[in-house]
Amino acid sequence: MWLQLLFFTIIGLAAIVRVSILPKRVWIPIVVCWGILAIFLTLYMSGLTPDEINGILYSKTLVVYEFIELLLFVLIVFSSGRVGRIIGYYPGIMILAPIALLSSVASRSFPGFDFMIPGLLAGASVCLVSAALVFLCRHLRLEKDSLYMVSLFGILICIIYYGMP
Amino acid sequence: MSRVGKISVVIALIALVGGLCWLIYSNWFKPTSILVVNPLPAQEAEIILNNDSRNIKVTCVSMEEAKDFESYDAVLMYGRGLYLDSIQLRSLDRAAGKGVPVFTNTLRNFSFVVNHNLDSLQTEKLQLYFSNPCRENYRNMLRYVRSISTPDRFGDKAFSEPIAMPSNMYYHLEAGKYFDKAVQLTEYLKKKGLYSPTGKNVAFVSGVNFPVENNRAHIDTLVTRLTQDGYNVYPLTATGKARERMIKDVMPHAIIYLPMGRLGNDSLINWAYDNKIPLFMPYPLIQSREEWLDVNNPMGGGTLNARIVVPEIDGGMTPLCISTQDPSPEGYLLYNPDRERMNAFISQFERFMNLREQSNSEKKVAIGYFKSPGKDALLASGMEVVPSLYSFLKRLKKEGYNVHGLPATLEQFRHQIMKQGSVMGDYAPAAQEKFMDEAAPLWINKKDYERWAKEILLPEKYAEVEQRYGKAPGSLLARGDSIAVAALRYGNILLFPQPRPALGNDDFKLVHGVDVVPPHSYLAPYLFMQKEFDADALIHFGTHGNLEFTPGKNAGLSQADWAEVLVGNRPHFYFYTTGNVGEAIIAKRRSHAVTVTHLTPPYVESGLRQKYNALIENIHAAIADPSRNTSALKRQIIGLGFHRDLELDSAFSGTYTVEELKKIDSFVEELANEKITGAYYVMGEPYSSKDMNTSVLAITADELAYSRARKDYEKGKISKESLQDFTFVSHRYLPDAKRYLSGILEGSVSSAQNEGEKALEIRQLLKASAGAEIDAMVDALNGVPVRPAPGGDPVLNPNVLPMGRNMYSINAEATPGPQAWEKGVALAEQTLSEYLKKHGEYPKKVSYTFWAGEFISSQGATVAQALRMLGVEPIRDEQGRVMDLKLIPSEELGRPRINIMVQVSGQLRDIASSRLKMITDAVKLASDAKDDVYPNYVADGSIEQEKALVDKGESPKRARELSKMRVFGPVNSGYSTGMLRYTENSGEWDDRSELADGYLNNMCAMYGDDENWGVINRNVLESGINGTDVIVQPRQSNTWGPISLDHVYEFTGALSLAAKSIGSKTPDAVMADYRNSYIPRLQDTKEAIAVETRATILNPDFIKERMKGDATTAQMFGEIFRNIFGWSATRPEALNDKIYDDLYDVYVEDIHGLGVKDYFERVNPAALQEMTATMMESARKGFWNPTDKELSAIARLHADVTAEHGAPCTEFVCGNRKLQEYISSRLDSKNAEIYEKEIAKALAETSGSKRLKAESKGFMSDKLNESTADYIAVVIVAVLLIIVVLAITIRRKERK
Repeated sequence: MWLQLLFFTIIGLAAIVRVSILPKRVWIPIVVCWGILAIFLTLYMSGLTPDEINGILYSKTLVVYEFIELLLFVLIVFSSGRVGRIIGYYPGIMILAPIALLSSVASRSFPGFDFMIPGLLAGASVCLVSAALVFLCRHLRLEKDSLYMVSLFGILICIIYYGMP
Repeated sequence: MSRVGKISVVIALIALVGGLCWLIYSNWFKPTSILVVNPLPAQEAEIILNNDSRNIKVTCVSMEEAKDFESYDAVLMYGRGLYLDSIQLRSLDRAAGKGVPVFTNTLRNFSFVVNHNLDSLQTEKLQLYFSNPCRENYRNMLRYVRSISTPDRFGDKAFSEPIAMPSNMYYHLEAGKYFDKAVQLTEYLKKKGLYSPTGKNVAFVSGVNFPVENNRAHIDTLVTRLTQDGYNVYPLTATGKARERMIKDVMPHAIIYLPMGRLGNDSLINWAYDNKIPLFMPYPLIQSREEWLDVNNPMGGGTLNARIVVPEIDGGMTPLCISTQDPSPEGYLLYNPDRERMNAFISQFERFMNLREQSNSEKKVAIGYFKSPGKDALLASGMEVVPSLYSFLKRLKKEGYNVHGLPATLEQFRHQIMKQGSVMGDYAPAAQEKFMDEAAPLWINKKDYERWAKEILLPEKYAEVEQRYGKAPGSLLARGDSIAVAALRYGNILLFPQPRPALGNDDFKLVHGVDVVPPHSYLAPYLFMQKEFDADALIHFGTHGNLEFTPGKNAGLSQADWAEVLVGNRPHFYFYTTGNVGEAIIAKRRSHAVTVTHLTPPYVESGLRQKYNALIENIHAAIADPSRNTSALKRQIIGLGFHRDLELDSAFSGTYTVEELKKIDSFVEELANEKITGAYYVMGEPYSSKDMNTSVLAITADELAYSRARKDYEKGKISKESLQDFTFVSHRYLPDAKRYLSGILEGSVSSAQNEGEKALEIRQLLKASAGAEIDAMVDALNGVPVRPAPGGDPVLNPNVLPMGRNMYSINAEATPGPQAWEKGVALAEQTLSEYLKKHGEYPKKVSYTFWAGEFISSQGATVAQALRMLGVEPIRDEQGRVMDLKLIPSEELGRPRINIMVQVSGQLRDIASSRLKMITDAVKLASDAKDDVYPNYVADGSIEQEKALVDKGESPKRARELSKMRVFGPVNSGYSTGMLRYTENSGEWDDRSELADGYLNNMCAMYGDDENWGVINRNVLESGINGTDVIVQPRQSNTWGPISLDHVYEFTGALSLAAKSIGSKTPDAVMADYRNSYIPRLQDTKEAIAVETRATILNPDFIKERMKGDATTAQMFGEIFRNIFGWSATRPEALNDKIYDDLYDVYVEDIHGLGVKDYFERVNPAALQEMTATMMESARKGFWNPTDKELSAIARLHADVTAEHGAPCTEFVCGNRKLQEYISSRLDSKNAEIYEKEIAKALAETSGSKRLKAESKGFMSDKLNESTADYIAVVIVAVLLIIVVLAITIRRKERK
């Protein structure tokens, strides 16, 4: 259980650090998109059973995808030139996993209410928390080397998590 | 000009030419497009099929789909129920603005009538076309519309004027031929060579106006087939008086009516029965074949009502679905006759008609009767079977039937039927062997059996049988290659017991109900009856069997349904007690039975009035004068044990309070007035004159008492509260009413103000009823139709008299009726006030049990209670049908909305599916109520239910959807909870939780809306039951009570147990008592059980009366004992602590000196074995703590009877090894040895007890299974990649 939480935390941290090194005109819309996605994910998650959610969120496939993304982050750190410019805008999509986890919890937390309400709450939370964390990262002047370290750590977690039964 | 320029010019030219061409085409050559809005499927098909012009394109749409009116050349609309929204209306206006003719066909003053761009002549002509639907008129209407909407278009625009169709007419297969008079049609048939001079005339009423031409394949098929078989068929379409006249003009020998409501009014129906003209009512369905065959798509609502329920009022027979409506390749719906069902109907029709031609000596009649396994008696509710059957057979002999070999005496017949006509359980293999060796069964060879099965059954259905039970002959009553069938043959009469419908583990599985496939031993006698014996008619003898309760469709069965296919195409008649209309209706609809009602047992004096009169007087005196309220009175009450029944204190000192005395008074008054029935009715034997009088009093005294009370109320002599007080009216008016009526019946008093007339009339009807059922059945076997009548308890509805009639139900769509609503409201509020008084707060959840009989008898008052609880009331249309619901405002309701849960029997589900959906709508309405000033427990309950379902693994959306489901019933379209078999096979379970599990698994099908109809979900049921505060059980008949009818503990007890098992508290249990139609009231179940116990099973007068009966009556005692056991297993709080002690005193010690043992040994030793076995089992289970001496006495009694008469081989005894060992352990060694030897004679070695298997099918989550190889591969790749990245990093740093 703790390893699962650590895994999701790493995903989120890596994504936040990644986005924090992007210019303001880029990271703000990204964070807003995350919030909007959280709304839709909440609505979507409300139609899934726990087993179906587990099948998505706690699958080894997700670990593989995160592994690949972390490698891409490492590549972003070390690449330059045209390739570097192109992949430099990749914000990371695996943030969807922790957002989905949050959405699934939100969708179950308000029985009797219209599902849009937990959706909006989840969306707002994602936006605000993400924005706050990005601000923090920028305040701490985290650069590519931080992304590199987080990614390496994340890769290690992925390997261990993948290997667990 | 540049190249680009040239190309542009060319393109422009092409576009111009194209445009011109399009303009020319659309103005002069394009087909006229006509939009038809809101046609019925049949009308749509007619219009499209009759469009023979290439220049006309017709599009038919429903009113919801209608749009873009302006893109059509003409718009025709059917006004019936038409409604267009604002967007559609704007489009229509645009169309009108463009000059598009718009016409609305109206037959009546519909609120929506829109005509545009048509003058009055045109409108009139179009109306004529529409009002006279026939091939020519449809064809010409379209052409006419083309001519007025697109007059400039090229192509044929010729049309003929509308043909006036007679509104009432005879017709035949040839289109365009209509006749005003029957004689004209006769001439036509003769001219065509279709008339048979010796043939029978059949008036065929196909419905109103349409389908008359085209789209009537089912009608044409029927007409053709019957004509080919030599009948003169007179199809007619007419309404009202014209229909009556036209039918009579035909001078029919039979009437076939494709029903849409009643055939006609009472004068037509009475004329038909007076002239012995049978009414056949098969029907087409406006549904696809797929929908028809879908078990989870029950027939309900208006279709059920119009096609089946209402025709039952006319006594219509053969309610078979003969046609569906399916899409043609072109997409419009056409009637599609089902070949097999059409054959089935024609066969049934012709066989019935043939009954009047065939001589009785040639007729073959198969009679199926019902019996428990082993040596127990033949069974029928309220009827002594063996003597009744013997009477009936003797009557048949008298009527000229070949009954060769019928024994000369009843005793010989009894002996023969018990020996040769027994039912075997699979738990007694030795008994089976003995039966096969000694009882001369019918042997059916496997080859014959399989051939018959192939001819009659669908291959996939037979495959199901083989899959479950292996190849024929199976395991039960099988030897070598043959199946042994218990049967007796007397000349052309075949008697057979209905075998067990399931075997072995099927009885014990706790999975989601058992979709019962009958074993080979069950199919064999029915197949034999059809193929070898070739019965001309089938009779089922008494209430009731199980064939009609095999799962499947509620009505409109097909060849895939066992109930229909095993009865086959034989005319099917069913002797049925009038007291059980709910289950009779199922037999009618699911096995095309014609019921023939018989009397209930007579009502007899309980003798308790005399016994408790003095006590009643003392209580009244004590209430009126506190000085007479003494501790002696209290001791007297305690001495009688009333304190246990009413949960009062048992201290001898002190006195009871006035409130307590009133409660005791009410209880004793009820005891004194309790209506009890005597020995079971024997067909053909009228009640004794004493029983006749007591029965008349039971039926008429209450009415007279209440009539007098009402008069006094109107005169101001008594208050309204007193008028509504059951105890007050019973005490003040009932004794006088009874005395007066007794005098009338004895002739010592003359009737004043017609008060006694009714009693004399009822007596006459009761006298006429004895034997009326035999007369009616004999007539039916001669092709004379059985007259229709309502069913029910004669006390509550004397209109059920006389007997010998075919029961009908009620129009569920009109329930709850206004009176039923009033009763339901009163009971619902009484439920709440009683609970509030007892617990100091409102209940949060009330659970209801709905049964068919009670629903019918109370006209839906049971449903009314549930609606009132929710704070919702019905809205009715002009015809009294409940069309909608509305919330009762919270302020008006004056209390919280109470959450409900409803459990239904399969029978109720079948006859009132629309009411169950209505209840769900009501729950949704109440749950979503806003701005309530009082708490809304319905909304709270929905949220809790949603939360619980999410916790149990449902998605939130699905949980939200299911949070409003409150109606549950048997799974797999079954009919029972399964609890009777589970409970009474007590050797198979050790803990009550196993029973609860069985109930939860068997009753978790939801019946709330179309999407979830029949869907199984145990979690929803659990959350629905959780938190139940009160269980309400309806009671609408004096012929049964909570201990005499097993279904009461089956539903109330089981639900109570289930609630407890899921962690809820044990809810209160009450009975909503409608037996007194003047004052429906609520009664605690424990109190109701106490009343019935004291009035019947422990009442020496009752026992003496019942001891006048024969084996079936004796069997009733065993059933009561088993029901008491059932209560002990499910809801022991409902029983008096001393009940088993009292039963022991009366039946083992025989403290009243009634000669109980001698009676049972004489008429039915198996019943006594059952009773003693039940007591022993209760002790073994810990439900009762007898002394060692008592246990030994019971064991000894049981063993003695077994030694004398052999093992009974009833399921309760012979199927329970643990019980046998327990009994043995209580005997001395010698008697134990004898006992065990007798048991062993019947049984083989048991394989140990079979535990109830809980096959749980929980939710399985899909987990990805990654292979080890994948894992290793990914790790290797990952490590390599890290190495690469690190290498790159290091290298870069070195470069820097």
